[in-house]
Amino acid sequence: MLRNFVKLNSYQVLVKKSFKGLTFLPNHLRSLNYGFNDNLSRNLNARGLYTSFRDCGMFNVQDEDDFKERVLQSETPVIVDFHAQWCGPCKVLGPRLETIIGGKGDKVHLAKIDIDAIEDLALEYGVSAVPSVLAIKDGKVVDKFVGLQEEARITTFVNKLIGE
Amino acid sequence: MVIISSIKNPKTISLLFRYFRNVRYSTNVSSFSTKSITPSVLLPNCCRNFPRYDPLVNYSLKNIVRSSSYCCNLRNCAKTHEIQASRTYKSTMPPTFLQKSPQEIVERCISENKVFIFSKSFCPFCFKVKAIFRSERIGFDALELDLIENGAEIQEALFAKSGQKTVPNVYINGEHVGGSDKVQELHSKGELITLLNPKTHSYDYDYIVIGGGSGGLASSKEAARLGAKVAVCDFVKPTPIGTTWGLGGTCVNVGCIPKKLMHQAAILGHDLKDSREFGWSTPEKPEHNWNTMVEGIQNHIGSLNWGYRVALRDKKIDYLNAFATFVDEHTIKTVDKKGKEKTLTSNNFLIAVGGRPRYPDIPGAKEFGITSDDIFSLPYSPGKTLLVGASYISLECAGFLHGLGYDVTVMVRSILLRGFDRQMSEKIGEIMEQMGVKFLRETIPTSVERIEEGQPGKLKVTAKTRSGGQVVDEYNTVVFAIGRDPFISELGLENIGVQLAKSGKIVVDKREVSSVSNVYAVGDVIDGGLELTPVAIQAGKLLARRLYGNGKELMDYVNVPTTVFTAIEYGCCGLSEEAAVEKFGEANIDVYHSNFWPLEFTVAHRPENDCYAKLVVLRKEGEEFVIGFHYLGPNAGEVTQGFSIALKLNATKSDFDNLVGIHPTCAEVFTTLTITKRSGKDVASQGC
Repeated sequence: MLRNFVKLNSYQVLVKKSFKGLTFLPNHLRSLNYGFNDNLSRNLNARGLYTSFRDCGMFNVQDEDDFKERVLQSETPVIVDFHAQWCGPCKVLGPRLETIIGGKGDKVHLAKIDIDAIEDLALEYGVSAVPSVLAIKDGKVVDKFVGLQEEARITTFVNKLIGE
Repeated sequence: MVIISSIKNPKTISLLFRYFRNVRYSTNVSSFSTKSITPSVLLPNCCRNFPRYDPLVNYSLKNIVRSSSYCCNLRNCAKTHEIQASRTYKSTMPPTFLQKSPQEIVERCISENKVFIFSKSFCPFCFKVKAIFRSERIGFDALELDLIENGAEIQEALFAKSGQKTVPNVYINGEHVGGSDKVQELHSKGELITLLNPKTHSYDYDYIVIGGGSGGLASSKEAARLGAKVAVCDFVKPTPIGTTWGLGGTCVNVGCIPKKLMHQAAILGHDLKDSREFGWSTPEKPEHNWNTMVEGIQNHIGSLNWGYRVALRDKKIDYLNAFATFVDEHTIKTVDKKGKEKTLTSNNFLIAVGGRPRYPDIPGAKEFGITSDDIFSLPYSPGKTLLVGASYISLECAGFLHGLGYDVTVMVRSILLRGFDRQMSEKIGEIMEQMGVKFLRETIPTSVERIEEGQPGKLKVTAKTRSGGQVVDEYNTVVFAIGRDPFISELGLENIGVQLAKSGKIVVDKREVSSVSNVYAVGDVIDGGLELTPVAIQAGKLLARRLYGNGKELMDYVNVPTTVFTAIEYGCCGLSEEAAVEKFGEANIDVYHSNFWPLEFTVAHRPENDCYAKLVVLRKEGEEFVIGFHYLGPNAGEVTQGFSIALKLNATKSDFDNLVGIHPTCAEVFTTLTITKRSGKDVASQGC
């Protein structure tokens, strides 16, 4: 944990710059943690995606208002990843989503929701199992999948949303 | 074989056959020709208890008025000790009932029963309607018009009242519903339940459940299924060291679930040792990582918490993560984490808040000690551990901690496993001692001091023995498991005058009603109940069905099976040897017993005489009824669960003897028990 935390710090600054109003509570740090693991940073660096990662929208949803503003009212389509700290498959899916969405530039955003932190939102969207991933366009759910998926499947899912 | 000679009517006999169609040996019954055995009915052996319940049977058959609960009960009660519904029913239907005028019969059937079906015993549409009610677990009462003398007149009177000539003719809450088609239509639309529970009050809710544990959740979901508007309040007060958890109560978060998983971790460790004997090259001393285990278990619990949350949402039950206090008998005040207050009103309340571990009143107990509320999520390996108490919780924790490789000591004031069979309890103690768990007998702690900080730190425990001696030792962790107290002191029960027993628990009657008529209680908070999750679940569901589904069945607290997951597991059902002797006298009790050596133990060179099986039987009327089942060995929960139905059905020793064993298993030992304790013969297994 400590090791990861130190690593995280270096990204924290960058992310903070990119997203106004993003506060780092311990809880969110933990859920962010998986998104910034070794594997991902290696992937991103190797593929030279780091810059685009910074620019593209990947964020932790803070509360329902935040969700409304950055997901429902977003002009860019958003992939919403409902995850939980106790969920093993979520920890594998998270980085996969980030890699794929990171590669799409600013065509699609990734919103992450810790279901235990924002319970009502998860219940509202009928999340009965995690990971649950929704594709939202113009405030409407247009597609979804539940459970860990292969990269190819996720790519198709994302491409479908952005019309590629 | 039992002969009932008082039944003369062939229709009655066919009715009797229908009642018994679903019991064992039913083919024997129906193979008799009804004509040939009039006026007597021959009942197969399995129905031998039938005449014991003749008040009900005679009543029911003579009058041919029966309710669904009669049907159920006739099937069950031939085997169980209590006829539950009869009381309610009898009061509304005296035996002279059918001598009244047809109009009065119709009126009273409708007005005195929430759900009433005028029916005919041969009518397939009547079967269909009854099947719908049964599938919805809604209780009903029925009058079989073809089986009574004035049936035709009653049907006429019914036609005059309802304008419906045919049967089934269904009334709910005094309102005419219609026949089979109408009931099916309402059922498919989900409106049957609305008819059953019309809103009769102006409170916010029909049913508020305080406590989101096994009992509370089960009851809330069942009530919601039956159309009630339900809310659940659940709030976990952190332990002295700050442990807290999610929705689901003790069992899911700090009881059965993590306990069984840690027990499994210990079993795996044991199996790893055994595996070397079976040819696997496992390391001589496999290492165990406490944190990995805790993380895995807590992750599973997290998913269960979420599952409960989703289930409440799916059933449209309002969930409040807030602490509830009674203001008056229809009002509670809730306070959430942020201190936000809310006032809610409800017609009925269920108190299902369960219990929390007790701390001894000694210096340092709360500051430095932990309980079962903390151990399953302890963020560090506990190290050398002292368990205070000899409850099943203490011995189970001792079992898995020892199995995981920790130095474990159990401090016992008097006896092990109070309330359980003495011989079995002492045997568990002996085996655990042989395994390496240390026992400090007749000793109680007097103080706990911290001599070193850390995770874990070091604690000095001073204790005194009964003989007046002093014992001082150092441990890394001290776990108190000396008992549990109901968690009701802050519920404001004094505001509404709920009566408490000496034990501090809530006094309830057989219908789980407290001294306040709209406040019910189930689970660990009720006086004289059983502190078991499945008991709370069953009681909670049945209560909801009685409240909202016209149910009549009461919770049956007899012959509830249970298992203690100590290093060697102990499963039991029915009476302990002592309780049986006390209840029926030594002369009437026999104990069949045997040691056994599980096949899995042989190659692994595990001890030959650790495992033990015994049946406590009651000699009565030339039969030996099994009234106590005790099993010490692997997979005790699985074995006991299966056999407990035999006790529920009043099985005899010869039933056990006639049962064919599955070979090679541990459970098969119960099919071959021949040695009684009275005979004094040796039951030790003979090794090679």
